Amino acid sequence: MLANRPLDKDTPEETIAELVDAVGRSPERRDLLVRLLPERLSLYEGRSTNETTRIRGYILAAFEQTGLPDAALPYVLEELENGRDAYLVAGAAKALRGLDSPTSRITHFLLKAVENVKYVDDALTFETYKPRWPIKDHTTALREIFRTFGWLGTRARSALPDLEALCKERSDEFSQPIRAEIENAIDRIRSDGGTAHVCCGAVSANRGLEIYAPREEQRDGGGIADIELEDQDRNTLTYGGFFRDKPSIVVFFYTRCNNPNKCSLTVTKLARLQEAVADERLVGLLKTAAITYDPEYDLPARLKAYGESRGVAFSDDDRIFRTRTGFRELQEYFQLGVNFSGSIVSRHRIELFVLDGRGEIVVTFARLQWDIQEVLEQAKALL
Amino acid sequence: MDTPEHRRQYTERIERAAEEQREGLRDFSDRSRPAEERQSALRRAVALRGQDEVAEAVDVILDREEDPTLRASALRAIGIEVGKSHDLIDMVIGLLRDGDEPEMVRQAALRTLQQSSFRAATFNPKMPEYTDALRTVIDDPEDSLREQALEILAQGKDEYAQRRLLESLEDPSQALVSPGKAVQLLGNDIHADYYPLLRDMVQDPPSTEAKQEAVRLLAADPASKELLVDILRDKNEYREVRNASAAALQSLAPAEFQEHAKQIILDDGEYNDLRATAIDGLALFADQEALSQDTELSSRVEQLKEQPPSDEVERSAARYISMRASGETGPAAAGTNV
Amino acid sequence: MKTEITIDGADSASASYVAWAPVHSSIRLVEPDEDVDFVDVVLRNQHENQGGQIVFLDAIPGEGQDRLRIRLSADGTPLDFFIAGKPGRPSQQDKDAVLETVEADTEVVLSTKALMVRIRKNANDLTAGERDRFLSAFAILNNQGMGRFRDFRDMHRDNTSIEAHGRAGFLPWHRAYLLDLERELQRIDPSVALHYWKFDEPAPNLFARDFIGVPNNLGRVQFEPGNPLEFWATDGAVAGIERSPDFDSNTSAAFVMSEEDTLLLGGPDDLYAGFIDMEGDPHGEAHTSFRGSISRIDTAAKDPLFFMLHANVDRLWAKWQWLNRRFDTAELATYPFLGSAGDPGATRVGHNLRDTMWPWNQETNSPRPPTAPGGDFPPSPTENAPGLVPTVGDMIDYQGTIDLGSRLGFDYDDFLSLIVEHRR
Repeated sequence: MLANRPLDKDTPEETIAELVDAVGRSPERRDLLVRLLPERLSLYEGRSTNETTRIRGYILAAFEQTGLPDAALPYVLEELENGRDAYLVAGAAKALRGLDSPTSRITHFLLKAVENVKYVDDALTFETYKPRWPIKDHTTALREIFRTFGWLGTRARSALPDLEALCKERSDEFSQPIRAEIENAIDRIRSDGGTAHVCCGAVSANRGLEIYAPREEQRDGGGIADIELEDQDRNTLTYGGFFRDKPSIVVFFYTRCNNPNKCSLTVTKLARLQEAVADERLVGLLKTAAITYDPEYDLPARLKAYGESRGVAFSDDDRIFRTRTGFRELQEYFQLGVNFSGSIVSRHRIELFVLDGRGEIVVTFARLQWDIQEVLEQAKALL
Repeated sequence: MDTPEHRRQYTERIERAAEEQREGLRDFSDRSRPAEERQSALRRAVALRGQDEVAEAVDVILDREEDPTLRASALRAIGIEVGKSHDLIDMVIGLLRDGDEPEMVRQAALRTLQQSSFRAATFNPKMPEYTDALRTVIDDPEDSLREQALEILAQGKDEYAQRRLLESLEDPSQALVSPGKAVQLLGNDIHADYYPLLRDMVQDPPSTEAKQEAVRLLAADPASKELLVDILRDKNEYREVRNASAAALQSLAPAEFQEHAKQIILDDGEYNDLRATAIDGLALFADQEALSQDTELSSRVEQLKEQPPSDEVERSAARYISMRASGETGPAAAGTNV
Repeated sequence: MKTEITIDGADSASASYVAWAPVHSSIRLVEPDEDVDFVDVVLRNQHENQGGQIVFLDAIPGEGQDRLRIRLSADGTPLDFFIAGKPGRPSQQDKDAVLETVEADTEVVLSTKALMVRIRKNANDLTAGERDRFLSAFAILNNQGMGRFRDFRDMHRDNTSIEAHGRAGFLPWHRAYLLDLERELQRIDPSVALHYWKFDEPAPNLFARDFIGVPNNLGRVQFEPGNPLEFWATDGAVAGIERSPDFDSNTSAAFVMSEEDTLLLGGPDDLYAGFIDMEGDPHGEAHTSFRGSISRIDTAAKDPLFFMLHANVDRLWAKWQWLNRRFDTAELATYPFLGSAGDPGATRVGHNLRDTMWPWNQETNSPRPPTAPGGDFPPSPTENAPGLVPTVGDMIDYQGTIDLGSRLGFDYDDFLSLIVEHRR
């Protein structure tokens, strides 16, 4: 009866947790859990950030027990590379231990997660959903990360120099129990006599980064041409009025984002991408834009201040926008990985789109940090 | 005063302080002295930093037979060293957790841990244990400890603290702090999803302060713009609440604020403190080009400066005029020279 | 006939700000009378009983004088001299220290130059005008959460804390941070300095509704209507400040050790390695003498009081430097990590003398934070130091005691320039 209960925005989170527990007992149904991960699901509409985090972290952690399907991997790697919530990062680290074919390529993500979470680690548990304190034994995100290193065994050999540095030169950055976990991981890696399995699974295909061509419903951008945009200088124009004649690179963000690895870094990288455009003498041939998820709050003065402090250069071809009308339509067209509680963004992914001269999506980069040169190459290919 | 004399006198002060510290240290280490004297000695010693002194202090701290005031003082005296040692941090977290310890000792433990948290390089790795302990203290019978723990967690946007605060607003029988305090603590996180609760609180406030708090926090909620305007223009509303709505509206919807601020300034029947706030809001943040063309507003502000109905209005009007005179927001003449 | 004076090579109004540390100046005769080979002139303060006061030195080392008589050549050859703020006589208003040049015999005024002796003062003792200018500049910088202040807020978070806390670089980093903020305030209003909260004394004038505010029963800080901080906002329109002291702010100090006890932290040999313990007490104790944002690293910079707290922390370091003559970066007693990260015996990157400091170095590769808010270090119209990308070492000789070119352009009101004092 697992899949028979419809899940929507009104489903109590405890019911969702019960479903996750049930799948844990019937791991052959694990694909059900994957279907619960996209941010834009109506399941997450109206839920607060905390509630969304609890649900997603619990799902991720469950993959340790059920096994981790390839389709779930981008969500896991995204959390390790960019996440700063210890509950989600811990869940992601546990999820990796459900991989059927572990690979050394995930060590990079685990090391990144160490840096992201070591100053914001937390006492947590996945033994129950929405625990009440006091809890008997807690785990932490760092503990789960290093346990996953140990689980990888010989496949994590490439990470040994980094792990040894954490234990020696950087040992004062960790508590004694965590140092013990690191040492344990090092021992397990060294003592594992298996062969390192380098190339297997979805990770090797595209690093977990979702780069994909537009879906069928995204092929016709005509429906959004009349959406009204306002830029950082309070100039108004339509979507079709800006996104035309030249290929464009557009990112989504909002100024109230509290994860520095997401929006702040995205807009900072947009500025660096603008520099790369100039270095390659492509100024005037490409457009860059950032659009806010939070149009009612992110008024032009806020957009301008945010961009300027991150080095964004403004011009006729380079702007930051909010929608004055039609954000929902834009959200639909771009299939944005975002959801809201009221007007507040509750969860979003990193996303960048390359558009052609008609403003239609050609390529999407989603979830992981996009490479500036890679994006530029995609845009140049449209010239 | 000649500079060498200044140095000489200051050096003497330092030497006197050093002597006092030495005496304090000596007297504290004398276990034959009564607790009160040893406590006074700790005040003179100021901080215990040597290995032997710290060990002596730890003996006192962990001795449950010892006078609690002395134990608490000893704990505060090793505060600097706690921030440098995981072992000491663990010891102090243990004291905080332990409901059988005297409140005074647990209070001292909490203060010492908060102070030590600023030595981030050492303290950060212990944050999970500290957070775990704080969450346990949320249900502590000691009010003051409970409130402090909740505040510290809420400032850190702790999920568990937010969850408990929301529960307490939905079910008053689970109240941990007053409703006004609860919304304030939730307000540390704009993602805390409490805007419907805030709007309800504005309509049916448990206190003026709670209403003021709710109004202030609605600055983050675009859906509340009209509500904020209504409050701002409601002359029957408490002035503190109207002032809070002015600040909130200026942040959320500057254009709307400017429109209503002007009306408030022109209205001689308005409260002076609100008029002062309105003038300042325009002086500091308004669209200067639009303001410069508004002769009706400028004339009224000049008049309010010449014939001020209150000191606050006069100061704000003077600031407005000097900033307009310099031609841009925040010029050298941003303040009044009194 | 008149004279022309340049201060530190500049003639502009924006460059006419001095503190206690001597500033190189020059004077020359312009449009001299005919048949004259030289003219004797006197440099002096125009109003000896009001405003800031300047002292004059004809050379370094030397003694500051209220008047300086010099002989100027009629051919316009410039003559060098030095000026400094007169100890104990800082300005209270912009350009209230008027330097006057008169002909020595006739006392005919040949030129005047309006300066400001701009000093960081005890916030509890400010005039109403000083306080209001300070608050206005701060509020404009904040611009309800949209202004440049946001960068300062973002520089001081949990994930950036290790750049600035818990290791030797705590004091230099915060000195740079404060100076960055102060220069931004001065771009809004050059008469403003970053005044300090002397937390080991009661400060009833500071903790007042017309200044840094007074909490209501919920700990929400209340301001007098018309106080620019009424509009303070951070973190996505979280309007207002939460702060309530655990001490009686009208009659008591915060729960900190005294200034004298602080200056003893360096131990019998007055070493920086011991003095840095002040990060725990009085610094950490000052923060945690309150409930509210200021009591945590991650949220402390939401509260403008935080910057005044740290100005006092910096003043204590500066005073310890003055007392023990700790300005020479070649001495371990001044700073214990002399080289760069990666050298034998070095500490974490960002905390060694030759390391550049995040965020001004714009380094965002691990282990640095992923972004670097704020860009380069702001230049000053009056100082060349510390440059666009300061090192830890650039923050040590802040008065130019060892090298005049190291001067950073700020001083505190309660003690004197080592140069003025030391080289008498």
